[in-house]
Formats: sequence, structure tokens, C-alpha cells
Amino acid sequence: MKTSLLSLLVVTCALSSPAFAAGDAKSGADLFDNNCSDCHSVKEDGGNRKGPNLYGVVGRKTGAIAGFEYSDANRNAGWVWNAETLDHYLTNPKEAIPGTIMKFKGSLSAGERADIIAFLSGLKK
Amino acid sequence: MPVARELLSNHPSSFLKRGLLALATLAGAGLLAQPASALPSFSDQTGDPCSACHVGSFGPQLTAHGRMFKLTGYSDGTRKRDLPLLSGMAEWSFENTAKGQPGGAASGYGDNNNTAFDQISLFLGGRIYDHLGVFSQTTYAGVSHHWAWDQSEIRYGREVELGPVDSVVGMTINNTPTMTDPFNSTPDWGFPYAKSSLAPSPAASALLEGALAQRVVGSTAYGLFDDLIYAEAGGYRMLTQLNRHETLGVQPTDGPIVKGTAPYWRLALQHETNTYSASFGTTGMIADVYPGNDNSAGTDRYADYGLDSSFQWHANKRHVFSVNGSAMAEKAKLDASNALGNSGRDRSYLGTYHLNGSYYFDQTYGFTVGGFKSHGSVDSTAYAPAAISGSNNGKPDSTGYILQADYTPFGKEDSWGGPWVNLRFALQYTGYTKFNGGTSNYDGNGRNASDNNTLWFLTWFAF
Repeated sequence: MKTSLLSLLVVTCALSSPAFAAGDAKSGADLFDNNCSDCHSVKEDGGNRKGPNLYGVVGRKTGAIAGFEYSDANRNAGWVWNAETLDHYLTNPKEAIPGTIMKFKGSLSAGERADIIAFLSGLKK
Repeated sequence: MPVARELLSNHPSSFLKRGLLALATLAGAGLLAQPASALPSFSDQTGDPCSACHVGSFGPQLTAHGRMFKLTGYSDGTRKRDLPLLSGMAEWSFENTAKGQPGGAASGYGDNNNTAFDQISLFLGGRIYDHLGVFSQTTYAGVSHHWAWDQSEIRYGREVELGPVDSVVGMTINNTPTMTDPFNSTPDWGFPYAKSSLAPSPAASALLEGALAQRVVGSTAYGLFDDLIYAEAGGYRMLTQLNRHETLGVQPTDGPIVKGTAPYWRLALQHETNTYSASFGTTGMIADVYPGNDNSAGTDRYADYGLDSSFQWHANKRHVFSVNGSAMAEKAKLDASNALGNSGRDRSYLGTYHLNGSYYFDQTYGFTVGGFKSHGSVDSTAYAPAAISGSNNGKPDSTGYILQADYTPFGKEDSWGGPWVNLRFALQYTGYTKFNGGTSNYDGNGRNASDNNTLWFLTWFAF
């Protein structure tokens, strides 16, 4: 419970910063569709694809989805996914977490990343 | 194992030897499987729905994601499989031509309005080992009642950094020139992705447009550098040198026999963004060929040079527009055919052109418009008058168009039975404004080009 509250606090703080508050979730949905949806499901019961399910990813620890075969790098990163860590990761995944198996090369602008993060932040019960 | 002794003895590469042995062994065991569709066994491996790799949620038109899966050896994905590599496919269709074909559209079929089980295929598809995968098809052709191996390849591919350049490099052993290509603008994976087995089709096509399919075995090496340059090169040798062609359902007399090794090359530039991808490239092959399996007069030489381009645009996955175009020029030295009386010329030219555009809505509803044209040297011996299939003026020229509407209810994330239940209904109309050199009485027997206009309804299963 303490962990959940702490994660929620971290996410709330991160999302309230000006850089991320500007994200447009509607635009983020299209951007996610084009850039991420081939490998990631965002449906609660969507299961894993080449990448792990991202429903409720904000507030989750790296490497935490049961049954998905993460790289050691992701599993051991010890991050909590929030607006800041997602933005850092999506800027260049292979630099952010060397050894990650994610193939995305980070071709999004800061605004586009904010939109996707806004979209992902809305995926929760 | 007495496989491929003659062929293998001519190839220094032990990798190639092992690959050929593996490919032939798989085929001999009847485990090989076809091309036209998204393989459910790939989805089983990756967890991705068919729509991730294929425009319209059904093969073979690839998305950028699908192209990368192919280039990295069909080996991506970490999911624990439900079933081991196996998939299947079946095509059932109804065919109508504007005017019937006297004597029957094929042995055992009526003049017109035929239903047919066009084919049933078994596939072996997916990762064998890290970076190593297989796509292989064995097909029963329902019209000719014939089993044969179909498009097949074993591929090794992986991402590497070559200095500062992100790259994908790989190697493939396969049986069909251009099947290795990641774009749908080269012959083997070009539109139409399926067509009637019973309708008349123009007599002329370039060697690289299918004449060697499944009749050769070859190896190519390829690389995609900096997401910009795709290059591939290799060579093909005749399957008969494996001494297993009859086991694989291939008859030497059914088509040309390549002498030695026919070199193949491919070079393309591509550009991808979040919303579109584009490519422009060239492909080619030079082959010395014994015409009709007769080596008494030496060989003909075919040199095929192609240009192709593709474009895909998607604001999001609900609206996907694609355009593919290609042009192929073939120069032939027909010394052997001329000496044997199969051709009235010792030099000839053939040009072929294809252009098509498609729109898919919601990864389910598709509309495609295509045009095609061929023209070439007059050869009254090679293109002689004959009912339906011949030419009255010796010209190989044909021109026409294809309209297709299709509906693919499955293959998406939420689809029932996914990934093992896949279905496409397609209605295709092929119209000819010129056929084998003429518009009216093109065959010398009173048949007009438009008499071959074909309405075809296809029910296409993949499982």
C-alpha cells in the first residue's frame, strides 16, 4: 500500500510539471498507434506481444509484467515508469537502458513523447 | 544422404551446404509449406496480431514492422508457443469469364462459371534458433491435382552496428528469386496477391516474374544499412542438380533449365517516418537457360533489369494507403531457341509494367486498383496463333486492369480465434484491353481480349 501511494505521488508530481502537462492524449493515441501498437497492447486483458502490455504502465516498475521475457537490463533497471522516466526512455531506449530489447529508435519529438505519455497515463482503472 | 551431391560439390560454402541439406530434408519430409498469407505461427511466436505485420490484417502486403520481422530472420518474439511452427492455408473460389473457354477452363472443369479449390498449403514458419528462422510452404494445387514445394527459405538475420551505422545483415537460402525481398513492389510478392487458376492469362512475362519459382535453389546475402540502403546479392542454380526435383513436385520439362549459376541483385533506398514509408530500387538477374530442357543447341541468355517503387501512408492504423509500381526490361539472346525452332528471332525484348494503389479501412475493408502492361518483340513462332492462349500477330503485348474489394474480419487484436482463425473474402475483376497482341480476334480463332475479362470471388483461409 505504501508503495502504491508512493508511486501515485511520484506520477502525480511528474505529470503536474509543465513539460508533461502539455501532452495531448488524443494525439498520443494516434502516435501510439503508429509507433508502438505493433509491439504493445494497451488493453487490460490484451496480453503481451513482442513487448509487454502497457495498460497501467505509469506507476509500474520496470520488468514487472509476469510472463514477459524481459532483457536483464530492463528487469534490473529498478525504475518506476512515470512521465520523466518514460520521456527519458523514449528519447533513446538503447542509451537509456543499454541492453534493452526494445527496437524503437527514438524518432519522436519532445511534444510527441509528451502526447504518448499523456495517452499512457490515462490507461488505468 | 544422397541429396544435392552434384550441386553441393560445386559450392565451397559449408553454410550453404548445410542450409540446402536442411531445406531439402524438410521438403522431402513433406513439412514445407506457401506464400500468400500471414502465418498464424508467426503470431503465435510474437504475440502480435496479423495486422501488425500485414496491411489489411492478411498477407502478404507488409508493413514496416513486418519487413523488419522478415529481415531479422522470422525469429523475433519471446512468447512461449502454443503450437510448433505449423500453419495452413486454403483457397476456394468462383470464376467467371466474359466468354467461356471451349473445351473447359482446365481438365475436369466446364467452359465457364467454375468453382475450384485452388490450393491447400502447409507452412513451416518461425524461429528455429536465435536470429535463424524458416518460411516454407508445400502446396496442393487443386486445379492440376499436384503436390509440390512452394516458396521456401531459411534465413539468418540480425541487427548489428557497423561502426556508427545501425544495420541489419543476413543470409538466406531459398527457392524463388525475389521472395526474399521485403517490399511488395518486386514480382514474387506483388499485386495481385492471389488470382484465378482457371482464367486465361497473358502468354508473356519476364524470367524473373515467376518462371524460375521453386525450380531453383539459391543463396543471397543482404543488408539494410542506416534504415536507408537495402542491398542484396546472390545466385541461383537449377533444382534438378539436387536430384530431388521429382520428390519436390518439380518437372524439368515444365519450364526453363538454368545452366550454372544465375546471379541476382537488388538495391533499394528506403525512408521511413512515423506516418509513411517509401522505397525506390532496382533488381535484376542474368541467366543462361536451356529452353525446354533441351541442351542440344546450347543456351539462351536472359538479362532482366527492374525498377520498382513503393509508398505507404498511415495517419493512424485505421487508414492505410499504399502504392506499388514496377517496370521490368528483359533482353534475350535466343540462339538456342532459334536453332531449335522455338523462336523466330535470335534477339528479343520484353517490357512489363505494374502499378497498383490500395486503401484499407480499419485494417478490415480493402480496395485496390491496379494496371498492367507488357510489350515486346514480334515473334510469330514463339507467340503463334492458338485458341485462347495464342497470338494472331506474334506480339506479346497485353494491357489491362484489376479492381479488387476485400473484407478481412479477423486478424486484429480482439479477433475471435486469433491468431489461428483468419479469413479474407475478395471480389476481383480483371479487364483486358489488349491480350497477346490484339484487341479483337487476338488468337486467330475469333476471340477478343475482353472475352477474357474475369470476375473472381475468393474465400481465403489461413489457420
